[in-house]
Amino acid sequence: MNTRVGATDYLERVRAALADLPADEVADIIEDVEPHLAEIDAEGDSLVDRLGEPEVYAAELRAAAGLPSRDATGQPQPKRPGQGRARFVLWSLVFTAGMAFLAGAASAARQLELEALLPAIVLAVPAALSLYWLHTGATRIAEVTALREYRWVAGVLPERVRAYLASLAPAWRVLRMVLLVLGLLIGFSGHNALGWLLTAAALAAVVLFDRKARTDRSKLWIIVPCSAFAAGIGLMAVGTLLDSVSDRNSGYYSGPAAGMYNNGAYVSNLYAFDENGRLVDPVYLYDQNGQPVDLSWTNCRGDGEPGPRNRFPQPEADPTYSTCVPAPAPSFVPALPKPSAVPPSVSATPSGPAGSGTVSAVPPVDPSVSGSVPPPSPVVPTTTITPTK
Amino acid sequence: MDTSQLLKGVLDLAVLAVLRNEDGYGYEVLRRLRGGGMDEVGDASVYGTLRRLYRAGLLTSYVVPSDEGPHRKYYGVNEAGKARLAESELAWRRFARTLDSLLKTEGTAA
Repeated sequence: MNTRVGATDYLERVRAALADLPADEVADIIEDVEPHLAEIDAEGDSLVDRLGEPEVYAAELRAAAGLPSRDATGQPQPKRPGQGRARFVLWSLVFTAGMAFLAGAASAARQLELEALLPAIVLAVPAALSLYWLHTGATRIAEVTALREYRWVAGVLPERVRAYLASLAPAWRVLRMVLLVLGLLIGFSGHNALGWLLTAAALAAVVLFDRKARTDRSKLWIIVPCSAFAAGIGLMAVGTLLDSVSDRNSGYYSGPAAGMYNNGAYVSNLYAFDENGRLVDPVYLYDQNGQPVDLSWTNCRGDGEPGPRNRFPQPEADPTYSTCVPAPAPSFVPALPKPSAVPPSVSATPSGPAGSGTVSAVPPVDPSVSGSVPPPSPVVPTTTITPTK
Repeated sequence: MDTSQLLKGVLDLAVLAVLRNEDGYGYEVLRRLRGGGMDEVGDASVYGTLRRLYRAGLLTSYVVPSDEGPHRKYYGVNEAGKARLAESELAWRRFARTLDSLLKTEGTAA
């Protein structure tokens, strides 16, 4: 053959003949071959005479490198979707596993209603498609494991960590069974049809395919989502368990964290009246520990000067919620006992903040508040107030 | 007789052997093999073998800029490669001895 093929053309034809391989593998090969061709070219020899046709060269290189050969006929195949499809297959597994994890958690929380069946089927489509491609050989596991992101993840974990994780596998298989059976029971007791159905399907898939998955890695596209589903059930079960334990140990979390309730209704403001039915404004209120009473009424914050939180009546937000305005006069007339009835005097005086040994008669006030504080006057209890803070 | 089939099996050993003492880039490896008498080894086979040994973790590789032409990628034998070479060498000697004696006995019997 006399047609003189330049090194560039030759290289391009080699590259084309390797196009079905992972891009970084091709790049590594080209990095070797390019100086090779340049060298032979520089020696003045015809590349084709020395090396044969680029396609033959590529085929020989593949065989020696242990890379999969192209179509046995040597016919250039239509370009494989290659990396794109392999990437889809890999990420569909990640995606489906994530979805299955959430579904497992939702199932254990009895929040999977039957209406979610269609979305669940739709979300499983990518994994099903991947499984089909892997089954027909349109995508090979080797292509998936050759992906840069896969190799990165595989490379990040040191060998010892991977060996350790692998040693946990038998324990995980048992735990997974327990979790799936637990999921079945939860679904059954909660009349949670879809949760029950998915759990049953996952359980069946694990029983059928787990053994095969150890040799046929394409079955991982079934097993991994099922495992993620079981892990979701496990997370929810642990969460429920922790909740019930902490509930039992202290009722702290069950009560409201702030604010004040009166007969079950939220208290948003307080009005104090003297024995003659006159509004006492302002009045500073403290609880039995000397803590300023804070209703945690968040209506009025920001602009306007809201003043100390225990000064009542508290200012309220104007209708636009932009500033604080003084609270409107109470729209009710307090039903006071007859003036002759002497109300019981308050025996407890508010104490200073913790640390100050003396009990002062005047409640401590935030120093930023100007104006004098009236001495505590006898209070007429009209309602029972329960400080909850 | 076509020795290319025979070559294929021992190319790994041969490539590791010519890289044992000194790192080299692809074409250098090829020249060392040819210089050592392996005339029939194909260029592409050597490059493919280098890639395979590298992926198997037996070789290190680094790129050295070249004044004329493209950069050269050098390969060297790492510890795993040295261990493999020692192992393969032993296996090769044992195999060669066995085949040798086999050929001798068969030859005298005939």
